[in-house]
Amino acid sequence: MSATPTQVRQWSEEVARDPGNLAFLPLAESYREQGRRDAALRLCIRGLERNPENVEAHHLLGVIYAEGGEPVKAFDEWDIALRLSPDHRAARRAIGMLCVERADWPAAVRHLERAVADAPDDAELRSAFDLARTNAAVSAPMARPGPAPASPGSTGSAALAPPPAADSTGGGVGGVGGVGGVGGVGGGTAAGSNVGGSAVSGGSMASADLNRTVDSAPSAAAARGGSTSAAPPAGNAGGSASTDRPMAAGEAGAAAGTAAGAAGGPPRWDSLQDEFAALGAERGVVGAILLDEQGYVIAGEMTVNGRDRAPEVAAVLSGASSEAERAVKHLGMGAWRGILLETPEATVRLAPVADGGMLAVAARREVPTGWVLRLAARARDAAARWLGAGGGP
Amino acid sequence: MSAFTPLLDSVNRVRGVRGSMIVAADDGLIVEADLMIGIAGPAVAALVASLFRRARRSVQAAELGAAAYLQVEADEGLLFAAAPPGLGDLLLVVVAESWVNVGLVRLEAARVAEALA
Repeated sequence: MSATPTQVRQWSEEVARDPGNLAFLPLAESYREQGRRDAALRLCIRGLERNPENVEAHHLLGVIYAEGGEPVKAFDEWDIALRLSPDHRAARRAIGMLCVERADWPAAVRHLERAVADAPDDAELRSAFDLARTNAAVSAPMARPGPAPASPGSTGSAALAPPPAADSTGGGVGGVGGVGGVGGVGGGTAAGSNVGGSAVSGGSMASADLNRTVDSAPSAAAARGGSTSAAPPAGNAGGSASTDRPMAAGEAGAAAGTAAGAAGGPPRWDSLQDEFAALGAERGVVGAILLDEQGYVIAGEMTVNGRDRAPEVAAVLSGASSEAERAVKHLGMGAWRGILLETPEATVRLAPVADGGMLAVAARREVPTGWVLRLAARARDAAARWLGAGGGP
Repeated sequence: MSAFTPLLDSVNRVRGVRGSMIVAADDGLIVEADLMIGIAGPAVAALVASLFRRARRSVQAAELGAAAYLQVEADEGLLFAAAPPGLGDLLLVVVAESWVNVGLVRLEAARVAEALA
């Protein structure tokens, strides 16, 4: 059910008073329902800065990313949600469906098996699970290095999909196109090829339901296309999974399979980049960048006159951290905590981060200095989280 | 007593300020100083000038204008370096306690700039 204007106003006020207030979650969901994706995205990211372990927020952010055509980021968010709460059904369902869409059959089986156990009456889930299981069984022997042999029933041009290519004429194992219903968000209508003739239909997910997963446009297109099962990220003919990100399952093959690496690995760079991008998108802010001790840019941008100046700034600032440290040590002032730099046009805040790195946030002079300091504090928190979680070199 | 002495005096009157200096930005040499005993003036002047030069290059690289003010915060103190246009390539450097009223220091620095203009 959509939120009433009164509710939205109330949530807005609560979030405005306290950006860490959990009202950001229903407010972001409301914005998403209204089609205000950017606002929902920003709200979610900001909310997560203050509530980094909020499972629902990670799940919602995944949904927003998925709807925006960013399945890689969506995967990451759902993966985080599952790491925080392995019993989170919606995230499990979403990530399982995404794995199906990507033809990452082993991972899909792993996730969907559990999702089906949690929701045995979910016919769509059951169909997707059956599809994944069948494909996993077929593709398992082929999940080894080297080019995948074309499936017997396929034509040469049809063998594009990672697992055996779908052959709509032969009634074979459906490829990605067979899960036209994975992306219920758009109310997909694709019937697609299928397993045993039982098409997994789309569009059955409620529009307000956070269980929705990704937009299935590519799948639907593939299904409509007939004999070729063009998996979303094509080109991984030899693997058992076709992904556009280094998913563990895709890399390790079906035997090792699954996204286990992602589950215990370091945090994704994308999440840090997103946080810095969100800071850079604030009104009047020129940019926010994170540098390592050698002056390389780790994340963020500093766009001036249409060009990203981050590398130049980073190169000049690479030694500033040690210089500031020496200066304050000479005075017995302890460690340096930050540098504020002002020009007639801009205010720049520099602050140290772990591993000898530094962050820089620049804003136009119309932005109050106090606000720049707060933005820098947020950037520092984000960097600390990322570095603290193993994101460092 | 130089022309800068009264200016430094006015800055030093702010509670929490441990001393101030006029320093050449190019080489970090002290032109005039009025510091509490125990503060390593020459070293601080050289380091702050160097830091200011680096900061100036960084904002130039980013096309964000000319650096006019630098503030270094540490656990137990603050350093300020202002480059008022009236001082040419000289910097007004202030050493202060961490609890100093930053606004007041900045105000005094601005007055110095005005006086020199």
